[in-house]
Amino acid sequence: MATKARYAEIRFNDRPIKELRADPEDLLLEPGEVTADYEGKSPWRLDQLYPDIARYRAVSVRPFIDADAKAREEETMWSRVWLLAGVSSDIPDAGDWFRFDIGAQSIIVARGKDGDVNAFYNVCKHRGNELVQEDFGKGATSFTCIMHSWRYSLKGKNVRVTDRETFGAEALCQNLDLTPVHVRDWGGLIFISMAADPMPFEDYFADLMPMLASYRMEDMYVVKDLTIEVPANWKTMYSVFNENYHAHATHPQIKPYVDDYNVQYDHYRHGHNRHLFPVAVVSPRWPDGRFINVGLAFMMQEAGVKAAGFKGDARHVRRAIQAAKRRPDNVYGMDFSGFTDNQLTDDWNPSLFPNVTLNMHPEGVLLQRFRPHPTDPERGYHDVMVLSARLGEGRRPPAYMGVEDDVDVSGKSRPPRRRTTHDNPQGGEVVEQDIANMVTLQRGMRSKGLNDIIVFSEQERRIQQFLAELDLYLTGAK
Amino acid sequence: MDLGLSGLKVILGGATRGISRETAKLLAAEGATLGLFSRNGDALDDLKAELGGTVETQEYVLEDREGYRAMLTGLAERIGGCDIFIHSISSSGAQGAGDWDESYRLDMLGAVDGCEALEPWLEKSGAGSIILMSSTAAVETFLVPQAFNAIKAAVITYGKQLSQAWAPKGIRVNMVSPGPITYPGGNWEGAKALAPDLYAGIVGQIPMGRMGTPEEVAKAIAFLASPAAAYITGANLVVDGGFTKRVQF
Repeated sequence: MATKARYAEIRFNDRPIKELRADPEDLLLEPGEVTADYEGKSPWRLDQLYPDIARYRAVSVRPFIDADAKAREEETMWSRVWLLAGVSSDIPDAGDWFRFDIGAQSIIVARGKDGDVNAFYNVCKHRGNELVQEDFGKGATSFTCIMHSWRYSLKGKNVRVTDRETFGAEALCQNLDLTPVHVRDWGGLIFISMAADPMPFEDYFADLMPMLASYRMEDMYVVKDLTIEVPANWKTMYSVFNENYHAHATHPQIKPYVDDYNVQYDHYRHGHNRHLFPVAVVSPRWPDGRFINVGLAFMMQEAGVKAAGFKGDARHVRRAIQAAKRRPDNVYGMDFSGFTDNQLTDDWNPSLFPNVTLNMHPEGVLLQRFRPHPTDPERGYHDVMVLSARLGEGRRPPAYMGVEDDVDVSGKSRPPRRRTTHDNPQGGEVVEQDIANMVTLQRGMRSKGLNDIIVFSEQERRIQQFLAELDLYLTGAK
Repeated sequence: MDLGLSGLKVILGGATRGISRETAKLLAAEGATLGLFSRNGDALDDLKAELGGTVETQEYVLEDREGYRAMLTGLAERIGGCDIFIHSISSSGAQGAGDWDESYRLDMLGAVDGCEALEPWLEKSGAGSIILMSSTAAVETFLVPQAFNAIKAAVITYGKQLSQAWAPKGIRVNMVSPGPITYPGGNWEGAKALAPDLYAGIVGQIPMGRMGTPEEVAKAIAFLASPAAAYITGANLVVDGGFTKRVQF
């Protein structure tokens, strides 16, 4: 069933929200009994971080379309920031490697014999042939170019120029090692920076690190890996996710059990931000906030809380599920210690500038990354990766992550990367609803009816921040 | 046609939502005196303010049988009697349609205890009338084998038997079996979000092409409960837009 028809009856008939927040940054989700500093409000407000933020409430569509904007991003932004390249669990042993493409650049990330991770451009220094074409490799001892058999060590050092004597001094005096890029293996994630002298990693991500670390992603592993080619600019794609405002219309099915409005907004330095969505709470847009609806009842059942005879109404379900997860004999077979009460139910959604958004739960993390096309400003790649914690026997990752029922989630086998397109993305229902928006947003942005301008509400402050931070790079301020 | 409901005293549970809420509104508009109970005290207060007229309310969570009987007796005393008892509390209102203990406790024993506790007032009434809410899930297979369906069938059997026994006392006993009924915030509304294919499949089986509304069921309940239906007892009135396909002789 087409997704628009599928939820037609509940898509556009919401109850109006009684008290709209003029300033969404005011809201702090009430902590449970177990709390942590990292669930408090950010010390910064958006307008402190970006005094000219008002400029980003109405912006031009040109950067979402133009080739020269794409070129400027490559020159001033992509080449200077820290980028999520992959996850550590994909290269556990010496000689394991993966490839990370970003625009026209391709990077190899490899674990050396000393266990350290190295990263370098994926290009043979002979005539510029791409050195590896696959996404992953295991147990390599070196990288050898298919064209003329030049060879490089796991650290990128040139160890063979085949028939060296046939090259003149002018050729051999060049640096023939692979060109390294900065790399950091942190908390289960591997980041690279193509900058000559990048901002220190610990500064770049300082504001997010305690929260990210709390999810123990170093103990998680990939159970789904998808790269979807989408006819949309990477910023269009990213902006589809980076606000809560779209949820009621794009994802009407979540309204019985996710509060899409009373969401905590936190804005951080260097372009990062987050939403904290209360889950197991009825949306204020849903017509009945007290009755334990089918969605809440399902979540209760999943967590081992009996809906029938439950002492309380819909407003008490979230805390009841948190309490159930705290029990040593919880049905997830997981140790939830170290997480705050709110983390046990809620969807924590940080965005890492410039192109990553995470939906984090103790049981698993949905990791989405948006990459520009090598040449076309109106195409891009949407990476969907699901990381799973080690769950109890027979447990599955949360349904909305879209991990198919027949996928092994035990960690014993790593699923191959699937390459799909927006026509049949295979990303699960929620992701597919968003992808549909990416395509139609991008097409619409070329319309003369826009007069070149699109606008953002205060519920879309994360996009305002994203565009403001991007401009700091494009204008040379950063 | 005057239903003759004016001044009659009605006791009704689960009054703050769906069919029961609409029934309460309709009966109040017909001039009945209401004794309403619900798990949700705040919503009862809101409803009472909306209804006006003579309404007594009781926030109540059914935990034990004696307590339920005592609560009903107390409510009857507060409104000065009971002419009509509508048994509408159900496990399905607590997402317990699959829960055998809850369905037996609320749907079945709730019927038995309610009828027995209120019998003295119903007998005195002269217009004594009981409505036991059942469901089309009792009379045709529906979804999956589950407690709700089977217990709702038991309720019809109990009600029919009771109608024979209590007819000499002047108490009528009838059943109302709604088909799929939808309203904002109701169970089927949730299915539109969480099981849209199931929802569409059910609607596709209804000849009228839509689910029913609480108002449509409330009108059937009001008629059957009222003195206008004085000679009807032991009946099971199906209100389902043609959803069930059996021939009811």
